Amino acid sequence: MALRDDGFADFFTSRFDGARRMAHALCGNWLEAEEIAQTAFVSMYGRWNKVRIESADAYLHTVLTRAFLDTKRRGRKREQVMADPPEVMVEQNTSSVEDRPSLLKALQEVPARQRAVLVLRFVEDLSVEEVADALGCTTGTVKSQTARGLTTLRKAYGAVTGLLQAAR
Amino acid sequence: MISVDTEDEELLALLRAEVSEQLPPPVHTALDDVVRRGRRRLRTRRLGAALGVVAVVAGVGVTTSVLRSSLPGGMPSNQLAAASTSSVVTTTSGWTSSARSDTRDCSNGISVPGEPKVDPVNLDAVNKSLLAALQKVAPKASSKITRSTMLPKPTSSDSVLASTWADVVDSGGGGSVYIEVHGFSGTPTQAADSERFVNGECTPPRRQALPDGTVMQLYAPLSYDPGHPSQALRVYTPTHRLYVITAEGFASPDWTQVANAEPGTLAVPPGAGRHSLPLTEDQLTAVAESLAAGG
Repeated sequence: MALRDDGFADFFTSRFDGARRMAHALCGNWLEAEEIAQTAFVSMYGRWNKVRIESADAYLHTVLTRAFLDTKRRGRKREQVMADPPEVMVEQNTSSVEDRPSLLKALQEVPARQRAVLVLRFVEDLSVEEVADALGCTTGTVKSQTARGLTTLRKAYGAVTGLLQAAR
Repeated sequence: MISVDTEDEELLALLRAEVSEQLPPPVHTALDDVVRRGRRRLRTRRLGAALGVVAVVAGVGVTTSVLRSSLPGGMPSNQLAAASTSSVVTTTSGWTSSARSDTRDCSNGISVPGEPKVDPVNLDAVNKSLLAALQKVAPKASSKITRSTMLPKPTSSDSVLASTWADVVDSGGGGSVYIEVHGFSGTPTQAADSERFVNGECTPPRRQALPDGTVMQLYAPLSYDPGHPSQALRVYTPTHRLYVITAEGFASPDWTQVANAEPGTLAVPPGAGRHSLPLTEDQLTAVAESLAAGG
């Protein structure tokens, strides 16, 4: 494989699984997450000659988030994804969560853009400024979307658990 | 700072814990698939961008996207690198290799400071220069402009400022020359350095500097489909104009509507085309010099 692709190959190999995990937090479905991650890396390949190594991770966050938001904008139906079930059933580690309502499921109730902010901010641990760069918006927008997203998440989770106040 | 209270912190800690506890299924995505799709996207984006603008400018819905179905979608992984460039490159006088001894990694371009110049382009002058050059270098060929686009008010430094297609038909069949006009920042040499591997291949292009400071960069022919190879030459002028000139082994009649796609979605079918480039490297160079003279 050409040297140009070698550099990309190293990046793909070291980052694909993490990208897929982030996509899963965004969409809640492993098959869709793999498609989103794949789309993001295809997009990165097209720009690879302009991507600097030191900013490659930030760029990956950007294209991955946009790929996720694009799927939502296209009004994609979940049935399309579920029509192709995984070849291998994965046994989840439920020992510590068997009685715990799923926060990931509750996260899917949060509007897509707010969800993206929450995942970038609190799962990927990016700063407000980094999230703003990834989403192409102001830091003020990130802050307001964070507040709204947290409110929605609390409501969705509270509706399941009854442990948290629905809204304050 | 965003105010995140104690309850939120607990909630987010639970969320992080749940995310980290997830056991994902095996990965089905192969690197080769991503590279293939990436290369196809590079090619489609270049062709589709220009023709998409035609639809807006002309207002007749000519084309909204372009697919080139002959790209290496079904190619075995061990042929990926070989497919990106042809193995036979004829030597043309005046060109020197742009290979650098200080680097072997062609994955990243060198960043160039500043924003590209995005002034409007005199499209008529470009078309006249192109046709005059084609008539001079290929007098036996029939040449005509088939599509042109121009952005009167460019909004992005990444924009294609103007583009034009010309069919070049000779006894070998129908081919075409496609020109994109961009702006660039930095010096012509810096810009050329940053785009040595812009098409995705890893063969160093050849380079030539003109007395006025223009830098020309000639890329190896791409042979994704033997029916319609292509070869690009980039011209970086001292006025910060970039002309991307591509000789294509197909002509406008080869574009066909893609079945079961939106009207205006065009593709050049596999095997279509003249199976050769319409211009030799010398002819392509002469066209480039003519455009460079226009600044």
